[in-house]
Amino acid sequence: MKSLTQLEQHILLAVFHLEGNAYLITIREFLKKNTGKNHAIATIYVPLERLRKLGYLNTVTGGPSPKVGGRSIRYYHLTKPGFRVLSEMKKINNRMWLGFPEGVPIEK
Amino acid sequence: MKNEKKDIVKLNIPDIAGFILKALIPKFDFEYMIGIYEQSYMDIKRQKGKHYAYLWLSFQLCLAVLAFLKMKLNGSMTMIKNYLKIAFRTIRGQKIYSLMNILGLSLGFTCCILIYFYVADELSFDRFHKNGDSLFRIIRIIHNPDGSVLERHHQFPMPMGPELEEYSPEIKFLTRHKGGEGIVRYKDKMFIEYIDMADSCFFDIFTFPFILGRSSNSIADDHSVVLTKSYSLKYFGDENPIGKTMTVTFGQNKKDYVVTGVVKDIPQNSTIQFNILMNISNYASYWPYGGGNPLTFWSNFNAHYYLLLKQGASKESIEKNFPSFYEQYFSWYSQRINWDGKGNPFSIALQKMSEIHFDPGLYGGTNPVVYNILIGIALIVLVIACFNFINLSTGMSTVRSTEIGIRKVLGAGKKQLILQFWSESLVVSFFSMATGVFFASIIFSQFNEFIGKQIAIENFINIFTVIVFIILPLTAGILSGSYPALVMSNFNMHDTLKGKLKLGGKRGFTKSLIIMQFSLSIFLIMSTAIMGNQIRFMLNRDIGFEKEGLLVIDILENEKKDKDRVVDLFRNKANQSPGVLGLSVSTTNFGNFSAYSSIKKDGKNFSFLDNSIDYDFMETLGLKIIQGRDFSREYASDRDAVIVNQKFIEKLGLKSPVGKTIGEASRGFPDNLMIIGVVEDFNFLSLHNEIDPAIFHIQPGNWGYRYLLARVSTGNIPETLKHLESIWKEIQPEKPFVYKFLSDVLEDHYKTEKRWKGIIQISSILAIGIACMGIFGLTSITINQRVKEIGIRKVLGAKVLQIIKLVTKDFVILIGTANVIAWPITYYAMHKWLQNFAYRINIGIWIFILSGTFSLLIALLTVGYQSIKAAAANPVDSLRHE
Repeated sequence: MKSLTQLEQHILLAVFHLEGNAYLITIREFLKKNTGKNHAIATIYVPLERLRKLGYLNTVTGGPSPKVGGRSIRYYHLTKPGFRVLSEMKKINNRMWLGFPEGVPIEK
Repeated sequence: MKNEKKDIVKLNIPDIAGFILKALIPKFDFEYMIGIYEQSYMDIKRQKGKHYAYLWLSFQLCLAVLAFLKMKLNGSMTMIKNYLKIAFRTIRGQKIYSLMNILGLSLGFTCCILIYFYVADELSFDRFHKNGDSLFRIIRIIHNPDGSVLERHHQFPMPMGPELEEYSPEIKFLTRHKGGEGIVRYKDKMFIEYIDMADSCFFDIFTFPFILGRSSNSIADDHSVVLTKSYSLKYFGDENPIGKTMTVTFGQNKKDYVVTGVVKDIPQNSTIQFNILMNISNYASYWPYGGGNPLTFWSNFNAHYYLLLKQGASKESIEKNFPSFYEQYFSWYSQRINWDGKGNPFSIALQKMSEIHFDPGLYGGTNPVVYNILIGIALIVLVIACFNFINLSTGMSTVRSTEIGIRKVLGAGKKQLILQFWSESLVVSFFSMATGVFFASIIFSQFNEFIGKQIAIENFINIFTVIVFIILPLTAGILSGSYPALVMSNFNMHDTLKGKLKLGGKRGFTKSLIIMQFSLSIFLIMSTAIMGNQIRFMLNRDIGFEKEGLLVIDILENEKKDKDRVVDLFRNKANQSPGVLGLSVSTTNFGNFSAYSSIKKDGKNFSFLDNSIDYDFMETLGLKIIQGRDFSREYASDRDAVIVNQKFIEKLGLKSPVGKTIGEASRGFPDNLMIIGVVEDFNFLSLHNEIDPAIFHIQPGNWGYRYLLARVSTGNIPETLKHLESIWKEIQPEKPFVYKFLSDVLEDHYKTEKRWKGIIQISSILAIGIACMGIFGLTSITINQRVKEIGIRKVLGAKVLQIIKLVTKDFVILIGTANVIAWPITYYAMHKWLQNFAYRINIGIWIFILSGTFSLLIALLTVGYQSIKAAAANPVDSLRHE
């Protein structure tokens, strides 16, 4: 399993959550809503390409859509390896986070 | 609904952004990525406005460049880091070499940046008007009888405006533009100003934003006036000028004007300039020459015309009506000049507003040659600097050959070596660009002053400038790095490590580059010398009269009787003043004679300068009468007499002219004026022109005199001036005392030449300086390599002088060759330039010899310092090997 950066993880999760409506703009908005970070279009495109090359995502090009000025949209879908990698990550994360308290403990 | 659909199809981002994205995004994905950018851009544009969207997009683009570069270079990132590291180490390790390189290149870039802004400013002329595309000036094309074009003019008679507007329904707005000098007063402030006048639709045609007041109808009535911001400050300071009254006096016509608006200062890249603007109907009060209302004079071609076409109307559609318009309104003109040629004596045409500045034949135009020369100079300086880079890195190649060898042994391919050298040259180039920008920003205000412009730099901070500023060092870096990169990467691995590397053929390349550098430098040096000589020659030439201490005083009156009164009073009082040696009067400003008349001679028109003067004129100016006599108050008949100059007699072929008449009259010229004297030729215009035939008479006609000429003793000019001013205040307490020294007026003629000389001078200093930096660096490299050789020579008994000779010999030969190449080029170029002047110097051989010696001397000094140091060193130091 190749190591993923946090942004790549987030993007994979975003694609998962958007359930078939994942393309550059929605992914960007999703990330903004959930992480508060405003990424440039190109800074999302680059890891998306990497994830696609790694085989974690595949793409479906839709027909011309008025949403993007009559051009075709490319939707991203999670592949099986992608799903596997996410669940692997989740396991690791769960292990690592186990026992970590909510909020900062109060000092006595 | 329909509208919205159209909107979607039109969806787009600015072209330039599309271009950048196309370069970045892989081809396969481009289509869909552009859609993403478009949608986001349009969303933001709809929500937050165009400017915000534009800003957002530029920011996105910057990030995209970074992100895609990172993606593309993913694997080679480490290598690039390594290249950069090595580049910085080389720069730091070879201090003299890098200093010479960077300094030279920065100076080259400084030149380029400054000249870029100059040219950009020129190209932006008149482009700020909102209606730019349908904005035109009316011009007049004057034809020869055979139908060919004789010359073009831009002025038309005043009454044409309303007629033309009625005649051509395609015209939306039409304005006349004209003006004149008047005395403007507000409270205790009083200045002579040039006041512009135009029709009330002036601000509907041109885009001059208002700060205060409204643009519509601001000059609709004849007692309103619009000021620019700086003029509002000049007169009203911090007060609100709107509604305030200022007094304007034209001649004897005094009138109050109400300020109705204040516009932003007119940008200097506008052909139309004004500070005070009022309705054109005021031109009648300005008109100083009498004869009725000037707004009805069809025979007086004096107003500029600008018009705005209606939407959909084209230039051609309106131009095709002009011939019939001519028939209706200008047929009198054909009759008056007895036109017997084809078509009409002149045709009317439209000229686009944005083209005015680039039409050297008409008012407001400049010669495009100027930009080409400037760009050429900047490129020469940059090229010299780039040659330095090539020479120095080639010179370094022997030193670095071991490094290259080891890199090759370790597996570096040719491509990687090329990349390494290029990254080095790019680092140097971009660093130089940064210093260049720094230098340019320091001297920008001086530069502005020097070229006599006020370039508003904030107008040019846009994506295009940024691209130029990136492309410039990129090209310079890649070009100057390509020779070392391509040649040095080809070195044989074995030879470099064994130290067998010979650069036999390659020295030839270095040498030819040095020759080119010095040829260009010598060319510029010699041009400076020749231009300087020509200007000095013009300023010091005996122009036929004594110009020092000659004062030209503006009478500032319109009516003849007022003028005569001022002249008489002034003459009587000033003649008693001890500092005044002579006093006379003239109709035209000296140094700017422009009143031409003509007579018929053998059926041909013969034109000459027509000057009205007064008694004592010849004496005041110190002109010599070579035949006949001067005007004298003793002869009443002198009122019908003329004095002519030598040229006049020569051109007419008169023998013993005194007592003859000058010929059949034409154009209302008084009949049969008798010649009573001949005055020696003198230059009353700049020395660009030949002396024209001229006549002088003491009948000022109904226009009256305009200028007082006073010869003052050069001993105590300030006191005399003070005295004259006090006399003036007595006679004309209402009007300022306006005077000029004739020598200043004459010097003004050579302003352009002086500026050019300055530009060439500075660039020649830069060129020779940068070229010298190059050979300085090169000698330091060669001497380093030959340190052992010099040591051995000294041990074997060579003298210091012999060693200096050994090192400098090569350079002397090179610079000698450079001189030989530069001389004919300079001779040719300067010979052409000198054709502009009717009176010019000869290009003497001494200029060539002097500049040759100078260049040699300067090169020897540069090389000499290091060669002396090397020659004087103790050979033990260089030969000891431990």
